[in-house]
Amino acid sequence: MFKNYLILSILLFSLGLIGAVSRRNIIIIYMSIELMLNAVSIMLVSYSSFYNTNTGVVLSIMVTAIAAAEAALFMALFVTLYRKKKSLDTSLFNSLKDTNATK
Amino acid sequence: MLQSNLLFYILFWPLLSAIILSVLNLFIKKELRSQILFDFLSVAGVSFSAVISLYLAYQNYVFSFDFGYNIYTFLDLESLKIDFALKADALSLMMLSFVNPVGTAIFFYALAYMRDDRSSARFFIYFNLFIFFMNLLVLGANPFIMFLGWEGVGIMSYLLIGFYYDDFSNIKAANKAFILNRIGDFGFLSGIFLLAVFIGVDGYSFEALSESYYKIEPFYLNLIAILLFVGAMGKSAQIPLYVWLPDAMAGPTPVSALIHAATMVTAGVYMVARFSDLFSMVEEVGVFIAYIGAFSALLAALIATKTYDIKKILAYSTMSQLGYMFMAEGLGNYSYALFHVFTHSFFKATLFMGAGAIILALHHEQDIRKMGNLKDKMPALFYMMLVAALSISAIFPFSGFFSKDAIMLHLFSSGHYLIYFIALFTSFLTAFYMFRFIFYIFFSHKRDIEVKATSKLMLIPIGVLSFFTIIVGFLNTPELLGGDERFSLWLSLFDQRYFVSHLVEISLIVINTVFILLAIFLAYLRFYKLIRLEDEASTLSKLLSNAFYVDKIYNNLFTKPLHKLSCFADEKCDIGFIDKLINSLAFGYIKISKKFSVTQNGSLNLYMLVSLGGVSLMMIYILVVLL
Amino acid sequence: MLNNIEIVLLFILAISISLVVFSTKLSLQKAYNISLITLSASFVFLLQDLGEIFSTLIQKDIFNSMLIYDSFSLLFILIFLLSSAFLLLISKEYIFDHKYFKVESLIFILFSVWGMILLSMSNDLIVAFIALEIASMSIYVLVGINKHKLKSSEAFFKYLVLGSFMGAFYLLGLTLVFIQSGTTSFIDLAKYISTHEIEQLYLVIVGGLLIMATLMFKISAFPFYAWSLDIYDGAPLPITSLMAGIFKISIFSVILRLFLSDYISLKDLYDPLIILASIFTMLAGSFLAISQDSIKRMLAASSIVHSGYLLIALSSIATIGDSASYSLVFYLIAYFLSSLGSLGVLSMINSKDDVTYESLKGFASTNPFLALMMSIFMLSLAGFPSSIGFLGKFYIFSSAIESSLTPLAILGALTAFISIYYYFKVIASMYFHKNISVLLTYSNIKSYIIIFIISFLVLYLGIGSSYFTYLPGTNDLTEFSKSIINSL
Repeated sequence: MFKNYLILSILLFSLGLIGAVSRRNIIIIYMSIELMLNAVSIMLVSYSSFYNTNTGVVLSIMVTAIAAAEAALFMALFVTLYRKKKSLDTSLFNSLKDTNATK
Repeated sequence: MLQSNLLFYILFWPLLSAIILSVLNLFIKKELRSQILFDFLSVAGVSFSAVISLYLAYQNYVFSFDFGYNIYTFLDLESLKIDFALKADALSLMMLSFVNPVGTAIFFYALAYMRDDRSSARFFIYFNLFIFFMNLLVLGANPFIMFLGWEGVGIMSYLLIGFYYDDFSNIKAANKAFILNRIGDFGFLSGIFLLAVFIGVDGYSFEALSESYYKIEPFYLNLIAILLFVGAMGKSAQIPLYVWLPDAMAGPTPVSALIHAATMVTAGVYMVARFSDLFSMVEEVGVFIAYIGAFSALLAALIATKTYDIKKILAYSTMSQLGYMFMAEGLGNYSYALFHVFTHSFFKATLFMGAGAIILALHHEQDIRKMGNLKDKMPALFYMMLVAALSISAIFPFSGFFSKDAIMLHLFSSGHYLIYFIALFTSFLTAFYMFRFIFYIFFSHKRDIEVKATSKLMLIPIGVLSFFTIIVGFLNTPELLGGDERFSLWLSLFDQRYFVSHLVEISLIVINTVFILLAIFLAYLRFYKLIRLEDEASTLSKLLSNAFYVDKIYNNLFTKPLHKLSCFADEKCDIGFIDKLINSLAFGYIKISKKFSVTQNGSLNLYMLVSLGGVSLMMIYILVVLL
Repeated sequence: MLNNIEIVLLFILAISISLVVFSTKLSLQKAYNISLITLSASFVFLLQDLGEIFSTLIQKDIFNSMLIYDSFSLLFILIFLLSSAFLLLISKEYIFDHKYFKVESLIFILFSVWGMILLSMSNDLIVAFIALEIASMSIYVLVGINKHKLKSSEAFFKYLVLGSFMGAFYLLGLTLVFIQSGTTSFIDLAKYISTHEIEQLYLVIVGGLLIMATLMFKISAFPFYAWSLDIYDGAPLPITSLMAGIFKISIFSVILRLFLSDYISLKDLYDPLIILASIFTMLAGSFLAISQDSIKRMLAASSIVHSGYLLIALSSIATIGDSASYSLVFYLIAYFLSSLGSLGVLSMINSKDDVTYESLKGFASTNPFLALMMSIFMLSLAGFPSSIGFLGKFYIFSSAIESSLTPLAILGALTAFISIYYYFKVIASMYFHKNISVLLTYSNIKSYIIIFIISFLVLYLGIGSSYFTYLPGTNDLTEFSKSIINSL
């Protein structure tokens, strides 16, 4: 039932999407983005398994590799940001903005 | 042909003089200048041109050579090819043969006149450039080149009228001349533009044009003729575009002599003669031109009888004489008109230079009421100016007699008697105001006036020109007096000739001469022993001395409404509407942009939300399209 | 045997890796020299491939048809190499003055250039994504290189989060395309699309749309433009010009290849979106640019407007094809020259605070040469005649009119007109205000020379015809842009 896996991965992707947009903690945003990538991976792997091809698995490894590279950058980001404000709340980091922006 | 190259040099020498002078003027300080070098440079260009012009004129006269010189192709379109070409036929060479020699005389005179002026170098730069443009005007082989020269002399005239730019009224006069000439130029330009549109395909040189005039519909031919004449009106100061000429006397006197009497103002007459084959095809327009000329001549002569400014009298007299030329041209005799141009340039230049000498001698006094009794103090000048005055009044055997009398004869024999009587009356007035001028200056007010000595350098050119004033008339001796009208034969233009019996001719001459002598006698009675100033009680004389209030009328009729209109356009339309509109647009844009920067509030979540919204919109779009 | 581009790729990679290995032992000066030599040597080396139109697959047995090297990619590779070498030369003093620039920064610059080269050669969705990530990840780090400054870290944070967030869409789109068509190669994909009915392409279409969203994010088109102002602002100036001047062009190279080879047969579906995006991109960009005080933010906002113009060209490509695509290529060249120059001048001003309109006042009297150069770049960005920017805009608008997108061209001209306001404001504050600007003590003559060369190119290529027959001019550039499109 490839369709079910497809629905599952789309659901996971949407969960990640909603998490990334709505949460304010940077670690949780990062986790949400990883969730989105993993949803894509699930889609690729299930495709491979149902249609008996290796390409999907190879692609999913690529996706994981990219996710890993991003993870490295995110770890560095957490450290840098935490040193600045002792917190990882996104709303604290808005010094870059238009001077005319009213908020 | 070697001689054709000479055409180029006629243009080249004055231009070179002007260029060298301007370079030297820029880089050499006034104290370090060699006076002789500057004097030489000032007059060299025009003198060379004069020699070449006379030589070429002689060649043409004797061997009937026409000269042509193509410098380069200025414009080459499918439908129009304009060459930067020069051409010298009898007409151009006749013009050159007085423009450059008379110019040379005036240049020498100007050397003396401008000696003490602090910017005399600038004066001679302009003067040389003027000669260059005047020659270009005369030598142009097609209307376009002629127009270049036409505009060039206009600019030089503007610059020279405003030569003493410290005085605001001079600038005003220069502007007036320039603006009124623009109106004329608009006519001229439209005319040659229409010619290019209608028959430019068949070639744009004067010869090519003259072969294809017949292709134009009569209505447009009339229109073109009138437009061209509007150009002549502006440049040659005819009604209604004449008001700039009296004001143009603000320039130095040599300028008035050269530009506003002898050469530039006759450009209109020359232009009409240049298009003589066109004008001879439209007789109604010709009559119109003749009437304009007649009324201009009369009006100017009337005003001249009550004017007190020595130069303005001469200015009005110039306008009046130009009226004679247009009368002749309008009624179809171009060579008589041009002969009057020719003689006029000599006697009018003499008069102007004499006036200039008097002005200098009297410490820049220009009012003739404050002059008088100068005959004993400046006898040479008196006789020279007397010759010129007799000539302009058309007394035998002075040159004016031959030219003006030929015109009068033509006017009478063409059957337009009204024009003839106007001309006759104007002739009477001419003699009257000219001798009023002479008597006022040289005889009236037996009182002692302090006079500065006049330099020889000034007197010699006047003397030379007054000598020529006596003799040049014989170039076109009528048949009656044993001549064969050589001048007219030489020019061989599209002249209309009416043959009248010698009896009529003689009686016309007698009538005219009687009127002139009467006028001189009246002037003698009135002004010879005049002591007290003329009173200006009567309304007529008031009207005359104020030049019929034409300036005021123009002011109220055109200038003020235009000024009000432009004020309205400025205040209401421009500031009130357009500026406001544009400002509100701009400020509205800035306001929107300030509002828009809300999207840049620095919050990451907002940015992500906006991006998500973008993706969602794309998805919704594709759903709508696909399903 | 290896062909030239393979040698260059391996060379840059080897140099980068050895720089990583020796990073602790090398001084910044040495690393700077090595990277500069690497870039310029590669540039000179690749010049020999110019000339004939060619197209080869790279290492077919290993990569199949994943990487393609043709005249099209060659032009872009040359631009990347040349402009990054210029960038290093112009910002030499900036790099040495700011302590946070270390050997690693140069390695990251090399890596990002390497990624861009790969990106312009990629012939496969997954390779394109990897190349894109190589380039952008290096740039993420470079943006946050000044870790002591809050703004820099914040820009790093925003760029990273937004970039990986949008990257996920690319992967989802790629997966959808792959699931339906079973391939990610551009060539096979094009074949698949042209042989199937639209009902059988739903996933390919949606996937393509998601990919488009990510690419639009990278070129900061509406509605994904929001990041660019903040991030350009927070990044150090050389990095800003790396992003605005070079990285954006590499994205366009892959967009052009993807669009012309695959999705051109689906143009009716995508075209309205591109047109809408270009309209709103131009408007949003000019709204933002007008209200800025900082020159850097203004240039960032105006680069959004330029993306809008490029999108116009993209949408006319959909209608009339190749003849419009050369206008895009020409505009890219125009844009990279002028933005590199203007940001380069800004980086030479080298002050601690932001360069604002206020602080530029009287700049012309203290630094006449730089003010003149800045004016030339501003004129070119505004599209003033006789600069290359004018010709670029002219080609784009005329191709838009040719493909009956006249309203779009009019809007483009209108925003170009508005852009005169904020570009000329720079010139006005430099020239027409009394002196409050300080004299620069910028002594590196090489930077001046490079700035002068760029401004000379801006004017020379803008004059329109080649005056010197033995030197290539604008016509040759136009011809060249046309010919490289054929190599696709």
